[in-house]
Amino acid sequence: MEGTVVRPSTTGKARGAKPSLVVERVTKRFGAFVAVDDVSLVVGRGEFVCFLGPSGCGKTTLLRAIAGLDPPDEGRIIQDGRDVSALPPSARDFGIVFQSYALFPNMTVAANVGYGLVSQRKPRAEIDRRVRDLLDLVGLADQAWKYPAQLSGGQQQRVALARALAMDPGLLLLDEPLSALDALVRAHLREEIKALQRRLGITTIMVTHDQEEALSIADRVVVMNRGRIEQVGTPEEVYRHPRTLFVAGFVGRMNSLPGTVLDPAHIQVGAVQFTCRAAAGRAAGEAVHICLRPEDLLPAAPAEVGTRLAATVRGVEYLGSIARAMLDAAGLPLVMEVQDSALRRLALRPGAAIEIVVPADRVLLFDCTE
Amino acid sequence: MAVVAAAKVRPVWSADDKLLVAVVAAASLFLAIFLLFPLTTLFLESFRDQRGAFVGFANYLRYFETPALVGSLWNSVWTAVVTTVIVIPAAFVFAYAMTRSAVPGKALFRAIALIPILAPSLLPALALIYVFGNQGMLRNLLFGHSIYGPLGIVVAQVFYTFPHAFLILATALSGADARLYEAAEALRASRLRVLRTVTLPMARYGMVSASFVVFTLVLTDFGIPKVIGGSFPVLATEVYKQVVGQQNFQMGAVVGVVLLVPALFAFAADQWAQRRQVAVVGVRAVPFVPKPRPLRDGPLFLFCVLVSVLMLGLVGVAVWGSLVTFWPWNLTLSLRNYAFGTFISEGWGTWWTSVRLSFWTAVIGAPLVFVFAYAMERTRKGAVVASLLRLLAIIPLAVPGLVLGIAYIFFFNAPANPLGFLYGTLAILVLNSMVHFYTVGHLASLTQLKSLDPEFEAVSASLKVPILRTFSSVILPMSLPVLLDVAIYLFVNAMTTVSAVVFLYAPGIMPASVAVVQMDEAGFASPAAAMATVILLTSAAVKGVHVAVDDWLSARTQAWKRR
Repeated sequence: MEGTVVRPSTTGKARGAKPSLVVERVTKRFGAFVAVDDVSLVVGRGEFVCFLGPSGCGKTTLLRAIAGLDPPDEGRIIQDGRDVSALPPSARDFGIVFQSYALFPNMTVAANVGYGLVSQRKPRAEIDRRVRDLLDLVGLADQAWKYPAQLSGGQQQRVALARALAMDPGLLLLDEPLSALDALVRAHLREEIKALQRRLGITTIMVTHDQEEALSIADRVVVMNRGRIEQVGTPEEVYRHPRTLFVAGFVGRMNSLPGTVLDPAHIQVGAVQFTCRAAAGRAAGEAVHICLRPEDLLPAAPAEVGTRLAATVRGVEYLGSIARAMLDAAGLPLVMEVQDSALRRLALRPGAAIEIVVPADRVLLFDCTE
Repeated sequence: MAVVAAAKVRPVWSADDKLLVAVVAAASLFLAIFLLFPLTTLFLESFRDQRGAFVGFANYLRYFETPALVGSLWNSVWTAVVTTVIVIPAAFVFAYAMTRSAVPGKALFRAIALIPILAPSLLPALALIYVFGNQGMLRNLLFGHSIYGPLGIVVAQVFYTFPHAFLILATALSGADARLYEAAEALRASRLRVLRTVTLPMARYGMVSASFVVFTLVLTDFGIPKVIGGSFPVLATEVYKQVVGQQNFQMGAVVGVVLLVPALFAFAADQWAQRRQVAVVGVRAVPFVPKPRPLRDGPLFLFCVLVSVLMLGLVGVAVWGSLVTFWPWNLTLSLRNYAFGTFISEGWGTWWTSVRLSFWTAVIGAPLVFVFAYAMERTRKGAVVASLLRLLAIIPLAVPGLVLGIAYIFFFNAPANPLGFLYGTLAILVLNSMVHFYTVGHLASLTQLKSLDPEFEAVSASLKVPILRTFSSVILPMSLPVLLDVAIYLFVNAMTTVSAVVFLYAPGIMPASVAVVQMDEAGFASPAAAMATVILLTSAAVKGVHVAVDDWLSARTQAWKRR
């Protein structure tokens, strides 16, 4: 079946030999609103994929279409070579964790985890053993007889994870599983989920609106906007080489300014001319968006090559390990990110003057129509 | 890549989908047969003559040309308006005292204010007759006015509708966000200004809602005008006279439709008000805890005492009157009036009929309403049917019992109806009561279901657990208190209702509430009061059992509710 699958260019490369999941031209409408618009995607076996995007971008709808909870209107979904597009959730092969966890409040942790196993009429002892193993796996073996309300948010999340894994699904779906948790617990659980996923080798799709979460946990990130996929790529690809202005602005911070192509090596932005590799091949006079990462604005050192700018510090936002300086560079408002050590060394404070360098290969360009 | 249209997906139905759709279909059938078809028949019948020929608006013309009938419409409307104008401020102050003040003894006051709900509407009317009637001990206080007529109707209705208005207003006021008051205080607003700018706007839609509920209750109540209305005709007694007295079913249908119009209007306005109410209290609201303030609490306490004394007094008079041997000449106490067999042929059997009627209405009705609501809420297929059904399920709230009763006569008594065998049985009384009081149970079930995580079913499906098991092991156990509430509500209402069943009972299955009307009509006022007291005691006993069971349930489920 894989041979016949058309792989649109957006899908990037799948890792495994055989794809675990193929989404082909899937569309889902709610009335006149197109929630998912002709989306195609291939997920490799054992891969961890994140759907990332702002709220309303269709990422949860796509996940629910894959689960069969809201079946798509058009397109095909093929899981392990089987066309499941039209099947109800109960006929598909997945485990799911919701943002709310949806733990059954009137059942103990053990009963929650064993809920699906009991329905399969397996012997009691086997169920008990499996439940124990799963709770060991998520580190909650000693909490088996508690009720969900007696657990912390993070613990509840792990129970939900254990329950989703209980039936040994071929696909694990996580719908914003961490967004109801405190920042610290969140970061910790993020690592745990990733480690667990590696250990089990289970194909996993996670929906999130938190770009830091997506970048840190995923093998590949699928950035979505308005029902469409903007870019699919590894976290580094998505961050360093955003394909669209939307991805550039949504993933990480960005200085984004309108400019004009002067010649194949220079862009005019306000009174400043930026030297720029990406301008090659563009026609002079073309209107473009120029994007600069805050950390790519470097304090000028003799060795640095690129566009040199004299700037005035307007304000400093101190964040601990790093700091953000709001600059006025020849009339351009720019945000620069520096390490705390650099902040001390440069003595950046409002009113201070500083020279910065923008390396030519760090300047990103996008069409103005986007 | 060639641009070809993507393949359309035709979702396969799972066993769960089929089951839910089957239940939705059953619910549609139930509400169609026992609500929609009878009402449609009534509506069509109002355009026909005795022989069934279509006569257009002839019946309506005759209605509006008969002064007595049109007069009754006007009488109904103005007594309803006067009652509303009296009840709403009183109930508001009472609800304010219960929710926004530190008045002591709130639980007791609340319980007393709710007593009228447990008794048939006739009870306050009978009590008023004891006090101010032709043989009443205080009739001189009326300075020659008669309690029989609008005066008696309004006073009795005020008592009868008070708890209904109080409950709505208390709910509206209890959803207070303490942060709003703290903000007002921080901005140094005077207390009067806080009342005017924070409290009243918050309760505004509750007041609209309560007003319409009271208006509709009075407009459609049959018991009170029957007992204390004297020769003062209102719509409800007029429709009874036309149908039962003169066997003029066509005119009965017309009056039924006329009665439906203001009720539907009030209902629509109430729905509008309720939709507005939702937005007032945010999810993050901090509950308001009133602090003691003697200047406010003192007068409020006195007011609550006054209301309670009047409530208890009126109920007390009815009970006392029922125990008096022969009012007002022989005041020695006896149980003579409780020997119902001497006044009405079915005697105590009417009470047993009522108990059976209420029991079956509760035991069948509550689970049915809940299961139907569950299917409507959770079905993934047939969403259009389900949403139409949700609309249909709230209609009974707008349909006066009398109208439903007449509609049942037309529909089930028609020779061609294969369900005609139900006519004249206890079963039709049960079905009628279930439909008559359907909406409150439906809305309570929906509220409960909305409070449950909507993903329970999704998780179950992913674990390949049939929905039936999730329903019985998760949804049902968690909803048991609500189910119990609905059952008790159905029981008490079936116990006390007169308006619908008065058209549908047959020899051998006369409910106690109808027996009250019949005995009063036959001149046995004290036995009528005695029967009303028995009804009150039965409802109160069931309510008591409810509280006990509820405590037991919450103790049993303590483990998983405790944090």
